[in-house]
Formats: sequence, structure tokens, C-alpha cells
Amino acid sequence: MKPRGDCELLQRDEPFQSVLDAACSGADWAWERLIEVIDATLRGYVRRQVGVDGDDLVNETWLHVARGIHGFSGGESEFRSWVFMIARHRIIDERRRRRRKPADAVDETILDRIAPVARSAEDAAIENLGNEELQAVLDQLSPAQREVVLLRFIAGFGITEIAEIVGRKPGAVQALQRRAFRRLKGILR
Amino acid sequence: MRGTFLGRRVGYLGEMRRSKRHLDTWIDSLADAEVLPRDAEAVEVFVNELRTVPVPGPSLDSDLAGVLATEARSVAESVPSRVTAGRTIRPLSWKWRRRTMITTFLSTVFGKLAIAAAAFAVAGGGLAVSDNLPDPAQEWVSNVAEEIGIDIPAPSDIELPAQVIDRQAPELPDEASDVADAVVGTIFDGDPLEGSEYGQDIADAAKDAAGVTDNTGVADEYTGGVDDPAGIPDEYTEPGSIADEYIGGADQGEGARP
Repeated sequence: MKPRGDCELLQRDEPFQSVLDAACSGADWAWERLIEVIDATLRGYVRRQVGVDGDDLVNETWLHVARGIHGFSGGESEFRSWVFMIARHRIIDERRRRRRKPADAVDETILDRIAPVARSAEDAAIENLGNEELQAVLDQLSPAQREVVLLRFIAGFGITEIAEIVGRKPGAVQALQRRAFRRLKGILR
Repeated sequence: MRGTFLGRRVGYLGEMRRSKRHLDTWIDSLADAEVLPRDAEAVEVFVNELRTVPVPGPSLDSDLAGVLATEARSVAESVPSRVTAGRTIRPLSWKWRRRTMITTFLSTVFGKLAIAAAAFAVAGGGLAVSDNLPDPAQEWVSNVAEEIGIDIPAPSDIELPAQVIDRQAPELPDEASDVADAVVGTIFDGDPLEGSEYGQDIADAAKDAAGVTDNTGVADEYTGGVDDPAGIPDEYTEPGSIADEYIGGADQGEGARP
């Protein structure tokens, strides 16, 4: 998993606006392109925040994107910020829902149709070797610090974009980032 | 100082990253770095692993794009709602978040209490400014407002209009009666703030000037007095006398019918 460049879609054949227009009109290829570029980082961000159960949230996020894409205007960078903002709100909603009602399902009929394919236990065990250690370190950060670190290093956003996504001022995001790294330094000493 | 993290030999953050600017610069360089340096420090290794190690979980479903395309088509075919028609959804800013927080607060019990208190203050202030509160409340509000430099009238501050206080009796013509002279004099010499006493004074002045001494005087003159049988007309006939004349009297036994 590698953070995206600023204009991955523009670097290909189609400019972002044409991909967006095609996605609005329901073209499969356009959605495949959007998913190809954004889904991996989005899924990584959500899974690091809420665990493997986060896949339902990712699918729910994509459904919200599909329903709201007609009202969106902007470039690729804004589109990515918008998608992650939706994901962040879904995560917040999910945490609230879990606090109130531990086993509440979300839009089951559609989510069942796009249920992810199960992987082998061996693959999962191999990947878990490093992930558990990474997750253990991440879990020692505060939720706000963890969010900033994940948006910066998994999603590849800059300070300004993170500030828009999390609804804080850029200075506050930078301060959170500094505190997160000082904490990481202490944890990893 | 060196150690291991995720199986790698790593160093640890040095002295140069103590200042904010250096730390920010270093974090930015970490975010842009494509390749991990050979003498990478633990945090650098951690960040690199965070970016490169995929989070375990089910793989992406190949139908997702198709489902989303169908969803987008169905939304496009439906009539846009009146609320969202023609509007652009932009990334939300911190100002929007602040507005949302204020709205959320106002919908809570505390928010409603705050709104009620504000409404009460506005209503009370309006009544106080227009001097429509009961006197003790008006006095209290006036004192409180004075503390913060707002001028609200207190009951004791209220003065009668100048034309009520500085009154001049009109000059009556020579042919005016003594009654008129006395009443006008009493009206303009008396103090209206005395209320009923003031009114009684005017009434007394009018009576004195007219020579009336008693309330019953006029009636006595007319009837000749309750005790004076002379007040009754002489030709008044006792009720029984006509009947007696007609039937010749019941005691006489001559009560023949007509």
C-alpha cells in the first residue's frame, strides 16, 4: 500500500472530470477507476481505526459516495478529501452506534451484495505478524493523534486536507502531528 | 542509541528534532520519502511499515464497482430533491463543524434552558424599559441595570408631568357665581395626589358655597318632613272609605248587591 500521488487519475488517459462525469452517469469503468485509486488507502485507514469490521463501513462509505456524487464538484484532491470525510463520519457514527447498541446492522441488503471475499487463514496469519505490533503502537496514541497519523501516512494527505477532513484548523492538526510523533518516539524507545 | 523494531535494526530520534520547525520538516520528509534510509530510526521504520504493510482483511469484492454504478444511475434517474437541486456539496470546513456544534448544543436540555433564559431576559428587559413591571421588580431591575451602566427608570424616579404640578387657576369673569369661584379655587389650590381627600375637598367647597348643609335638606323641603303629616295631601282618602260608601259598611248588615 502506497500513498497516492496528487493526480493519479489525471496521469492516466482520462482527465478526472471525465471520470467523475462517467461515474455520475453510472459507468462501471469509472467506478472501477475510482475504487482502484482510492479504495486501498480508504480501507487501510478504516481498518486501522475500527479493525477488520471496518469493511462494512468502507462499503457504506462508497454507497454514500455513489448517492452524493451528483452534487460534488471539484478536482481529484477534493474528491479524495470528500470520500475520506464521509468515511470519517461513518466511523464516528459506527462508534456511537456500538456504544448504544452493540450489534446494529447497516443497510444489510446492499452490503450483502458487496461482501468482501474471505481469505485463507494462512495469509491472514502471515500478515498479522507485523500488523499486531503496528496496531499495538497505534493504539497507544490518542484517537485524534492516531487519526492524523493515519490520514497523513496511509491516505497521504497534507496538513490542509487533513484539517478539512477532521474539521480542525491546520495549526491544530500540525500540533497533533507533533505530539503524535513525540509520543511515538517515547513508545518506540 | 540503536535497537530493533519489526525485525529491523533501528536508531532513535536524535537531538536535532527537538524544535517544532525541525520536527515538522522531518515529518514532512517522512511523508514524502519513497525509500527508507539505511540508518533509519525506529519512528521512520514504523511509518514506513504503516504505509507498506496491508491491513489484514477480506479482499475487495469485484461487484463493488457494478453496485456503485447502478446506485449512481438510479440516483441520476430520480428527480433531484428541492433541497439539493442545483447545489454543490463541498468539503466541510471547521466553520461548518462549529455551526453544527452550536446547533447540537441548542437542541440539548441546557440549550433549551439557555434559550428560555434569554427569552425571559429580553421580555423582562422590555417590560422594565417601558416601566411596566411591579414597583419592587422595577426597582430591582433598575438597580441591577445601573450597575452595568444601563439607564432604566425606577419607580421613585417617575415625575408627574409639569402641567399637573404648575397649575394656574383660570381667572373667572366677574359675573361668575360664588359656587364656581369656590370650586375652582379648591381645585387649583388642592393637591391631586391626595386622591379621595382632594375630591372630598372639592365637593365640600361646592356644598358650602351653595349653602347646602345636609344631604336630606332638599328632600325635607319637598315632602315637609317624614314626621310631618301635613306633607300628605288633605284630599287623601283612606282605602277602606270608598268600599264602605259603596256597600254601606260590612257591619251594617245592609250589604245588598247592586
